[in-house]
Amino acid sequence: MTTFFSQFVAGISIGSLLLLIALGLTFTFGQMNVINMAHGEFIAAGAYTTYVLQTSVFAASATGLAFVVSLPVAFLVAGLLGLILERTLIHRLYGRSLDTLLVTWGVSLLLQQLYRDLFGAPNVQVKAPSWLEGGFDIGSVTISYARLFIYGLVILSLLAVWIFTSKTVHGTRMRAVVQNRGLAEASGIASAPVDRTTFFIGSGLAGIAGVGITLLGSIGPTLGTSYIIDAFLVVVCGGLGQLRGAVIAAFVLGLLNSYLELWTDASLAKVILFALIITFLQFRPQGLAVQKTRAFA
Amino acid sequence: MSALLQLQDIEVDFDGFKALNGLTFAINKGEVRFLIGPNGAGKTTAVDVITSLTKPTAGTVSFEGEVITGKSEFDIVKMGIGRTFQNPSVFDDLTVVENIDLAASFRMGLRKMMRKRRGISPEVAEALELISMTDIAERPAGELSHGQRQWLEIGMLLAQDPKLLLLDEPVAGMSKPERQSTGELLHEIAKTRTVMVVEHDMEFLRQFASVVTVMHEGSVLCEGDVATVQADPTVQEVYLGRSRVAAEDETTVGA
Amino acid sequence: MSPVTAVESKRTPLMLGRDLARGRVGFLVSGLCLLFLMPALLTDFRLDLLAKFVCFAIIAIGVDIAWGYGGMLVLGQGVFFGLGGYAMAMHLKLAEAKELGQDVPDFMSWSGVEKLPAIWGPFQYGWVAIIATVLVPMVVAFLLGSLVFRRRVRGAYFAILTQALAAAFVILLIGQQGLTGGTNGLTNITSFFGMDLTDPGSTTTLYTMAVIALGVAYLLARQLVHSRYGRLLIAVRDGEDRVRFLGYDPATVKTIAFTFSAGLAGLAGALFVPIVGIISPAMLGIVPSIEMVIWVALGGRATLVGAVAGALVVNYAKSGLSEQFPGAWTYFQGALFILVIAFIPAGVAGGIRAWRKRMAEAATERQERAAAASGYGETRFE
Repeated sequence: MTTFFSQFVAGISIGSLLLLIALGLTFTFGQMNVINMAHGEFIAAGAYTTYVLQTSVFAASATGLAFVVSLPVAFLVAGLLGLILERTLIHRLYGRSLDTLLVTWGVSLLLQQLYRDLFGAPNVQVKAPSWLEGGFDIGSVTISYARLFIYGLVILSLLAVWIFTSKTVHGTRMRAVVQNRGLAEASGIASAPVDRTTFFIGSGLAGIAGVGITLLGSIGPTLGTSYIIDAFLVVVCGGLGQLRGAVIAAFVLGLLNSYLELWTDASLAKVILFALIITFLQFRPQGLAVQKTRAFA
Repeated sequence: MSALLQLQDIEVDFDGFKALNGLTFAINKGEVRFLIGPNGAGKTTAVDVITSLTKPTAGTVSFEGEVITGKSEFDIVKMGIGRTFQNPSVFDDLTVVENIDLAASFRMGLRKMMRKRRGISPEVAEALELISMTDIAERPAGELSHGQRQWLEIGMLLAQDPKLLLLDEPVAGMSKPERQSTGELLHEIAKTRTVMVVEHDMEFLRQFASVVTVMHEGSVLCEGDVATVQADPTVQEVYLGRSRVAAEDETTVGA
Repeated sequence: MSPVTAVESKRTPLMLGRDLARGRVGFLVSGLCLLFLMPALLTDFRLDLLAKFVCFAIIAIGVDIAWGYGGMLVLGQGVFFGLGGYAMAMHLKLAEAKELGQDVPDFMSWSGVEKLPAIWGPFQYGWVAIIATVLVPMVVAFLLGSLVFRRRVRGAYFAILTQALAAAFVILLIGQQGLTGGTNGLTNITSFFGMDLTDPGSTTTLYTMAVIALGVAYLLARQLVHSRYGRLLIAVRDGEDRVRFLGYDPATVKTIAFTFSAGLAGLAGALFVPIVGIISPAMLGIVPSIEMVIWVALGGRATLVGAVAGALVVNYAKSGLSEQFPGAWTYFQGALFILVIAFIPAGVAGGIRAWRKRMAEAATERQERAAAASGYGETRFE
């Protein structure tokens, strides 16, 4: 029973980080048909932002402050990286979905090597703020404050995204472009700025996820690669551009991973998970959330 | 005598919008049936349902007495129903003759498919001749004009040799002379085949239709020969009072 | 009308014949060059390297069929390469153990496995292993392909699934230390069906085998591409939904191409193992798999020659650059990805082809103009 709960706690925190990462992917995929493989490196950018703020900007005594400040800064850094990527490369590639995947993979290679040159190949450790050390017990299970912080972070980000997409003018435009780009443009919505904003926010969320990940362990140049595929699987299972689908898929995948590791071992868990996803796609090939429309591509 | 094609109480629901609502009609062998109606009446959706591009929420389609609802698109083609699309969708990287040859080869076994095409088979040559493209057979389809692409679509359809041909707005976007020659082509085709045409062009309809089905808001408004349909008061009302209805329709369904 | 037809029908077979002739001559010349000239020119070390690249070229042909012609972005070809490689290596390790009178291969006894695992059993027999190198990847690809293509999972979804497969496969290999040799993989392969691989003479033999396999793969792929099926594959790439209304099931068309590409990757893996003497997870994970795509992208997708040349050139550049500046190679590779895909998506061969076509068109136009001037063939299509 104890392990059941502790795996649950771990699964939920992986799931919530995956969700934060997948949100950006599902928006850019759903809205622009862009598969951004460099998204993983935006996560690393967020994580390294925290590291740089702690080691070079703030005094050693102010780790906690540095950590808090790193949240908005990481959002900006990763968001700007995304914006630059969109402006320089991706906007040339609209309509060539698979090519965006390959191009952004190239970008991801460049960024990884850049991190290696800037911060060294070995992993570095980010210090968690003192007020996140320790945890509390529920029965025999300890929930660390760090994990609790991650839950809170994800819930807040999710709330912000939800408010943004459903309550603001930009959000309405965004949804319009997702549903029918041509019609949206014909109705006077300039899609380019909408695309830019979406890319900025999606990438920024990856940066925030990066900050959260520093609480779970050390960080390295290839940090992003370990999360990106799982995040993409969340997108595949959740359905394109759908908040609800992504939420469900992220937590289900996070928990499944966690429990499968407990039941078998980590290496078999991934294979079983893959088989489960293929099976799931037999029933819901478009993922969880699908919109029925009359369309012929 | 049972009909070649029978649609029975077809209903299609696009997230709350009923595109087809109890659509029922039948086509007999040898007819040139025209399907008309204002925008959003569900004409193309009807073609989509027959060819299984859209799955109906309720109702059945039968062809030669066999229920075909739920079958895959390619199985329906194999049974003998072929169609064209409003936006001609031919394969730009293949030549004209390759496009038609593919359309003609779907009954071929895998072993034969794995071999190279040698020359031009008689049915492909005939289709090329009918659409007057023998001269440009070796040209990539990507280089064709809009009208030529639409003709190539028809050529591909002919090469399939279906029992029932469904043409979705075959003259849309064509110039007047192109319309005229397409009409003649259609006339030629209809001599030996059963054809259903979705069309707006009234002139075109008057010239070639044998039976007309008028659709409105997802079901049949009236049916008969050209004169009967034109004289029908409800048809006149739908077409004359169109502005109001059409405004609504066009916002709900992008054509 | 008739003069144009006459000109057309006279010109087409001629051009076709010339093209074929050029194709055949090119094939023979490069084949002979690879078979006889290279072994004479290169040192054993370089020839060994080239043999490795030839294996990669076989993979590239498969990637080209699936992606270049079929539009299926395969990001997990490393899996099929690995299946072929491991199948071959398992047999070679078992043969070696038998030679030494041991029950299990060396790495198993190191990790405390004393009884041969059941899955290893059949690989005692060379013929089982040889068949398995191609058949196992094909079966895996066939199963995956029929499951996902039938449900119309495609485009980016499919690409991501293949990548996830590569990730899962590598994690599995690493995790099952006792069964697969873990991170190290299957190493120290020193003999190949009685041939001593430490003997320098073996290099030329293995190289020759690889070149012949490449030739066969090329001819098979060429036949496939030029057949009706090949045209259909292109049609599926450009309009899968439309193909359904021509009476074909795109799922079947795609599954065939995907399975074929997997078979080629498996074959390449089987040849790779005796040449390099090792197969490990690092050679077939996500990164190597996506590199396989860049070979084809650079050379020119949807041209077989381009795929082969791309694999040879990129790997040659890699071995040169990465030996001297490993960091620079990563930057270079990243930049290559970006530049090729974003700015020359047709690749080098595609670029050359387009240029040639423009030249040919210009020539035709000149001819036509000359003909028109002499009052001939005034028929022009609107």
